[in-house]
Amino acid sequence: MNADVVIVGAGPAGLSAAITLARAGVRPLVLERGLYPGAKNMFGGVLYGRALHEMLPAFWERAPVERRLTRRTFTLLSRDAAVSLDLRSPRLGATPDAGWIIARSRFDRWLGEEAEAAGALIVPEATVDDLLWEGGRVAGVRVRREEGEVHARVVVAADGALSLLAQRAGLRGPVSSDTVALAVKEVLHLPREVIETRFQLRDDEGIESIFVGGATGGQPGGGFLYTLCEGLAVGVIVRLDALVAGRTRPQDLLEAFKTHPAVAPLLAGGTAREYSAHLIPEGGYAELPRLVTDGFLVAGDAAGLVAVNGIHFEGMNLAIASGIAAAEAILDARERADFSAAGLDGYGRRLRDGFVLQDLRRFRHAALFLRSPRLYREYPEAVCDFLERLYRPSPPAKTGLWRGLVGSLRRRLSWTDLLRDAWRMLRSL
Amino acid sequence: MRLIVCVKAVPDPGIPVGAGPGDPSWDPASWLWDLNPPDGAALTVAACLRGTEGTVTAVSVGPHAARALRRALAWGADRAVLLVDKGGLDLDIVTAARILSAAIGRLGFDAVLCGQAAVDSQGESLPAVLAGFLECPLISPVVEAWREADGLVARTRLPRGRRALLQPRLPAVLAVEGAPPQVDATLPVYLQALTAPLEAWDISTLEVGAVAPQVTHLGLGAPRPRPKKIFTPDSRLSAAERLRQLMTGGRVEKKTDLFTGTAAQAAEHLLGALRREGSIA
Ligand SMILES: Cc1cc2nc3c(=O)[nH]c(=O)nc-3n(C[C@H](O)[C@H](O)[C@H](O)COP(=O)(O)OP(=O)(O)OC[C@H]3O[C@@H](n4cnc5c(N)ncnc54)[C@H](O)[C@@H]3O)c2cc1C
Repeated sequence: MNADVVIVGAGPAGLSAAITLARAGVRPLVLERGLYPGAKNMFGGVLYGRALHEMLPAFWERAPVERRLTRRTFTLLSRDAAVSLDLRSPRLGATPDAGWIIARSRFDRWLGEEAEAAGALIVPEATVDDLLWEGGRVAGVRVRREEGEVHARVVVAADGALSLLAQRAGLRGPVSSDTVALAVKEVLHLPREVIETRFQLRDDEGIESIFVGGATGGQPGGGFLYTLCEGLAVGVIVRLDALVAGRTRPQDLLEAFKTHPAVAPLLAGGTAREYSAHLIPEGGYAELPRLVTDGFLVAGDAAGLVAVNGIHFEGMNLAIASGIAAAEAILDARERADFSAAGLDGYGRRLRDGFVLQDLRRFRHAALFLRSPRLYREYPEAVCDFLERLYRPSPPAKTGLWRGLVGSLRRRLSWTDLLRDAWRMLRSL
Repeated sequence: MRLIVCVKAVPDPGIPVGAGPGDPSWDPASWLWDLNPPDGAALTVAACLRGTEGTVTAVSVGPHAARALRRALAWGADRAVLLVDKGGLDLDIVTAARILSAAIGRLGFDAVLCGQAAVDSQGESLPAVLAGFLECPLISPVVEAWREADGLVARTRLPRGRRALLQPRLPAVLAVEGAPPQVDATLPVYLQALTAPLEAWDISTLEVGAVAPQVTHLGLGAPRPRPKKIFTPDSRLSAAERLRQLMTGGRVEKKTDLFTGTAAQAAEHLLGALRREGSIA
């Protein structure tokens, strides 16, 4: 079998590359292991719209979106208390920058249909096991079927967080447990009216709630909650090495999160509909692999293109932008008939010039800051404690604001820790 | 031999658990519809009967059949015909069989193969109704079939695992039971199946008269809970004993013998007990 371009993985990265190529008249072969694009995909989450809008203008009018993000809350949890920041603004939901809460199985399937309409050939139930090599360059892939060799001039690996192919191509080593997080998620069914009254939403409005601290029993990570049309997506994300070291089972953390006194009332009455788990690359800029080699590019999660900085979590838009950039670089290389690493060099340049690598670079120190275990235990406890004391009526007579804050922190943390964390935080922003 | 395989598209079982009609996630158009697994077994049997000069045509009626037909092409059909009903009706078995028989009559055939049952509706009657419309003999449930000089021979399953060998007058209808093929299509065949054109026939051209739903779907209920057997204590026992049995759920303590002493003594006791029981000589 021969193909011009083979794309492995029909997630947002692979499908965006496919649409861009197909529109330029190159018919890519998209190999996906699931029964359909999205069958194996899950996320929180919110798709930030601009990157996709640039390729599929006003996609939200046609795509299966659940809700528009109009309200975001950030909550610090101690063992039994909570302190929240609650942002509501008409500007949050303004297109094209609006975030859209989506269900991946439906959304990716729709994106797959768009790619097919543009002319891409999507082949489900085609798991790629290996690369084919010719004279030191990647020359195709091997699909897990009889006679499964597909020769191609260029291969795009958009196969997600574990990217076996980027490893096979020698662009990166095996995934290490301190650079990935594990997410477990449940979808709970609740009637639309209940969701809208409980979260004060109207029409297609939606909320993202992020929880830090008690959400993960003090492990590095957080909890999340998103409102769907008729349900809630609720889950926890924890760094894999912490889970292993703490011998914690992620499903136990999710159960504990769901029963936290500040979370349980939000979920009351929900019946479980889905349960899923997925890895998230969180290595950031420091862990970026080489992005191309002869006849081969890596995009999206496979290249670790996820921006995490503590309050923000973006991966889909980076995957989409990197898929588009990969396709454009292939089109350039095609004109010059040079698919070597040098010929595909435009890919890295596009990512560096665009928001993808600029964002990753800007938050390159965040990984170290977010690694501090104190962020997930002592600080949330201290902030809750401080505010509880602040609001405590007299008598006894009150302590001053500053002394109260320092006292709450100092009861739990040494000056060295406080200074170190302050420095890391400033550096990571 | 001209073989026709009737295939049905059934919903992927991955629909969110607990969803029912009236529930917003109950949206048949958004489900993944795929080949009814026993129809995969019918395709395997058709491939055995086909020989070198035969043809296998897959036929399907219903609104979500495209994927099932492509799967049929990947599993050995040479041609796929989609019977399109512009009204998108939910067809009952008799109407579906009437439409299929008209299409099969137009295609011409020596044998028609169907899966013996549809996994979504638990329906097993379509092959029989179809054989009635086609005025053909029916063999069911077929586990295997092969060519013999002047026709075909089918092995069917009888109660208690017995088998019968039957030779029908052709043309005939075979209802095949079993699972889809174990070995999936090669990549070139699979790609061919994904890209091959599907022939679409409008059922209004089939001279089957007016097609209207004959059965109206009123609702779907959750399974009726099975009555659970509850332990009732023996009325001859004392009230206290009956109460105790109810509180413990009627569990009867296992009778155990405890052998104590040194290891040698315990072993001696154990052997003695086993001998008394007749378990060892
Ligand atoms: C819990 C959670 C919450 C998240 N929240 C957000 C959020 O709020 N906002 C946001 O922007 N991002 C979020 N993300 C990140 C986002 O989901 C990813 O960054 C994005 O999906 C990456 O897209 P991708 O196309 O690179 O990879 P994926 O979406 O993982 O797609 C990879 C595809 O490749 C296929 N595949 C893999 N291996 C093979 C193989 N060998 N052969 C064939 N096919 C293969 C897979 O089946 C899959 O379809 C979240 C992720 C998780 C897990």
